[in-house]
Amino acid sequence: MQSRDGVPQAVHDFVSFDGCVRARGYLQQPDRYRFWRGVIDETPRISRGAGLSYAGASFLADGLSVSHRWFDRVLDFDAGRSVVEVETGITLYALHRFLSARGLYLPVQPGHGRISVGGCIAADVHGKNQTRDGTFINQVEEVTLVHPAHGTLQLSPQRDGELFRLTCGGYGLTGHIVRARLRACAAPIPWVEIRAAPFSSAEQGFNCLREAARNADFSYTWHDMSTAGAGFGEGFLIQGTFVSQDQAPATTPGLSEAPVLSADGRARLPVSLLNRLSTRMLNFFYRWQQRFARNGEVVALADALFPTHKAQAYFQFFGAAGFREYQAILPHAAATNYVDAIHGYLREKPLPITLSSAKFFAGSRDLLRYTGDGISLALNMPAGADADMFMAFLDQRMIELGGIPNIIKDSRLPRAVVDVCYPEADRFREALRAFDSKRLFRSDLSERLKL
Amino acid sequence: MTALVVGASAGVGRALSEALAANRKRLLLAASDAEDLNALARHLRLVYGATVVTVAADARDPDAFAERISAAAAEIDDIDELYFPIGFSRRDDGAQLDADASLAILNSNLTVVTAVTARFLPGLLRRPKARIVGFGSIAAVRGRKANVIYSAAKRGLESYFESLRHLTAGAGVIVQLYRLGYIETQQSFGQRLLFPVVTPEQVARYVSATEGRDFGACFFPRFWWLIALAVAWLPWRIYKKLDF
Repeated sequence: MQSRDGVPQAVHDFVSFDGCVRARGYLQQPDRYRFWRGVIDETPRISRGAGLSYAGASFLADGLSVSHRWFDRVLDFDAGRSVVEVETGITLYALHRFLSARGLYLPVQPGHGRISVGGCIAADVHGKNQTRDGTFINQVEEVTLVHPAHGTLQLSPQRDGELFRLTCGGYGLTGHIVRARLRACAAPIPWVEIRAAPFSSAEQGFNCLREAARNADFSYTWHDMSTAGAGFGEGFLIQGTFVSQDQAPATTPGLSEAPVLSADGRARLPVSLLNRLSTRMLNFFYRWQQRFARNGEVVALADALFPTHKAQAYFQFFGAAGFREYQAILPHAAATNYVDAIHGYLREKPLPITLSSAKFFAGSRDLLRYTGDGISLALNMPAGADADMFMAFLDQRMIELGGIPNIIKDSRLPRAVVDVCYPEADRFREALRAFDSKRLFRSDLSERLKL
Repeated sequence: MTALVVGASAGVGRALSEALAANRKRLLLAASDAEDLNALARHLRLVYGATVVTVAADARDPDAFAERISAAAAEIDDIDELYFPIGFSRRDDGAQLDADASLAILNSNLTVVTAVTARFLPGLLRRPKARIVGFGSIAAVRGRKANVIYSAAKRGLESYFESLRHLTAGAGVIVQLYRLGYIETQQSFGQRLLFPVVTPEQVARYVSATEGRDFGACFFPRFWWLIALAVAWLPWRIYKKLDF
């Protein structure tokens, strides 16, 4: 189908990365700048980066997804200020290759290198030390936004700061984010020592995490919640620190391509391989693997930044039915209560919790950004009615304990929960309508949350 | 070595430019849109440290296009290699286009290649080693009711490259024509296709890997050779009933 802008559109069956949202819409894949300069029609639309959002953030039933795949170039580099300008379709891994050759890196990055920079801006993602580094917006100097009603806009904290903050963490709803200037940090060395320290309870793990967030470059915990019996919540504190020159291997780490990851590829297995028994085995295997890191294991910086590259099979094990992730920030005082509630629930209604991982968070809440003071705990499980019941239970407990859920990680999250947990949800809606009265940019996520 | 890439801003042209830059060749890139070219040139300079000069001009006017490229070429160096990953088609190309529309397709696929080559051929013939690379299409195998003018232009291009190869035989110039199957570009986007689609990067890698091989013309992906043979030899009474 040829659209008015001359760039073909194709009917496309979209699926969220968690496999839980499917929609038929249209996909357009422009490859020339005249697309952004031209008259963009008023079809409901949304930008699409790598298509790896757990929630349906880059598509809408009967809507148009505009892929940024061919806009993935490095446009400018200011060596003095360590600022790089890129087209937002560039993947984190391609950008990492460019920066690492110059002794730089982006501290705030999610765990897979195939994710696009545009997606990271839109979801204002966090990295592996949110306390120290904040969220992705902290390393964004400027974005170029294209909107049919407003043309091309340059936004920065100084220039139209309100719209800048609405765009970074705005889930792509303010327009097409086509370019960004990002501030990188010096990577003292391209090698990181990963150390795994065991702990015997979730509470102990959270306490260790507080300390590690102050001292380490990367820190998170892994908890075994695959069994509600003895050992529930125990696990490892994983810390990463840049090694000193004398500890570093003599070679420079190689940077081949990041492994291909897609929502369709993830769902290739017709059935889930993860049940209560296999989940326990998986957790047992992970524990066994950590013995290498107990005394410190030196890995390439890219491996520390993108640990999912070596664990892609994990997502594939969920099969076509998909998985659910529940990630929420709980106030420090409430984190243990929250884990106790999870434990109580699982004792009564066992469910394979395939992954449980926590990070230490700090910062003030703002619009629909996933920030705040507390412990961010993520739980994975196979999708299904049991998982949805459990997540509804978690919604209630989280609200009672004053937590906030991560919107981009949960394709089920009801509007009512978001409205209770995010006091600025209505301010977000008003600001969006003030900027775009026709609400042209829409996605499955925005329709569900009535944004 | 300095390479000229005509049609560099997207698809195979862009991938080829990147592969050439990775092989440390100086580049003169030509395409219609200055913004696309600038973005690509900045990327190649920053990522590969390449020397890149760009020319934005409209291939529908082959003479002016060739003139602009000649002028720009004088700025950098003698050109050693010519690449023509240029092409233009329309989905309404069903033998009812007017003269201007038909000419635009012919010029963008064929005439511009001949006009630019004519400017550089004397210089290439003097060089000990040079390369001229064209990109044909499986559409040229046998005329059909779709892509009528486009297929005619690509058939013309095949004949032109045969002549070029004959003309340069004995000189240091390698003349190659890659007959491309389905490539992941705007041309194929969203279409239901019978055979696998390859990426522009795969084409670029193949073109780089076959540098220096005097094969004349080849199919890429190679399985298209068999399909082309079948299509060419299909009896008319069957062929005329095909809807493709």
